[in-house]
Amino acid sequence: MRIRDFIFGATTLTTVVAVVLPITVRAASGHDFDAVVSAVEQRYEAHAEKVPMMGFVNFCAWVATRGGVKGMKIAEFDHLGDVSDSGELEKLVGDSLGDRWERFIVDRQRGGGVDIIYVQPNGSAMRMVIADYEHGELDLVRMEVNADRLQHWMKDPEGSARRHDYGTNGSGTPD
Amino acid sequence: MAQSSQPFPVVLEKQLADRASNYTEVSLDRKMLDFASRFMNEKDDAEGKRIVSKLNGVYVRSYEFDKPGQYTAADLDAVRKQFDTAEWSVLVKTRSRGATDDADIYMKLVNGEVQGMFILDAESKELNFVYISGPIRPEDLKDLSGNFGIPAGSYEMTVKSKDKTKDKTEKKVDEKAQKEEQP
Repeated sequence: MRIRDFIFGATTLTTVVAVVLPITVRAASGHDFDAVVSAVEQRYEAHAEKVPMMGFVNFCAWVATRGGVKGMKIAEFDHLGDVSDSGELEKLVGDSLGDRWERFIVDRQRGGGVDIIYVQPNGSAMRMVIADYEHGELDLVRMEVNADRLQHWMKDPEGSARRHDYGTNGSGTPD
Repeated sequence: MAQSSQPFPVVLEKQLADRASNYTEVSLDRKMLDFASRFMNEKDDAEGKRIVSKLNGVYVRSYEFDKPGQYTAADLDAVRKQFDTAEWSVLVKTRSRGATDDADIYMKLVNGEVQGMFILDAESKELNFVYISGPIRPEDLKDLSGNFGIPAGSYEMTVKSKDKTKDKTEKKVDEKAQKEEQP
């Protein structure tokens, strides 16, 4: 029984990696996020640091949440310098994303820190771009959250794991 | 440019934000409400989910100031003046000595139906605006307070204030509800 489970699990995982991961990576390659990173690099003459093994991190997030979170991209600016006007940073992020994105949350803190979340509905999922600036450091994160999948997993994490429910429609491709 | 022109009615929001030391803005349109409500507990938040399913949007602006006087009575009057229209009616109005704890609740009535609510909560170093678009009753705040950026305690504010002030708008809403109940 255990061997059969192992073989089934390994087959499923291989199928998922082979079929779904390229789709996930493709979904993550939105120009919107890259445009924000590029705009920040140009405006503040800074360079975004790459997160090593981001593809693997993305895959882990997708598996861990049973398809609830996918398409993650992260850019870190460790030395952005003094952003004296956080309003300018807010505008830069908004302008770079374009009019298909909606501003969801802005939280401007004493001391110049600011958190911004932009969202874009995509069917039953929600794409999010999060910008977190504090003490000269800026983190930019893009992800796609599937509410149905995430809720399903939150309600019954063990059950969804048992059923190998990775947010696929049965054919191995994400729904 | 990403959409920043939200249907939030207060024109002074940007000027106030520039003066605030802490500023929080939450904007949930219909799609975002749908999305966020999926994370509400179906048993515990059943009533909240039902209310949210009918709303068009929830918009919250919170300002914290370093010291009193960073927003003026004229600022508040300008905001209140925006709701001095035929569509909007005052439901609750409380005033404190020194204007250190004032609250206003306005209801938007369209063809006798409540289609929106605006809450203004002003303290000496804090200012909160909540705009809820869609069919909403004051008692619905009980299920929404603490969610979607709506400050916890919003419902209590209406209850406390209602004890002090009850004006014609509330009577209008009550009368309409009574009419609907009658066969």
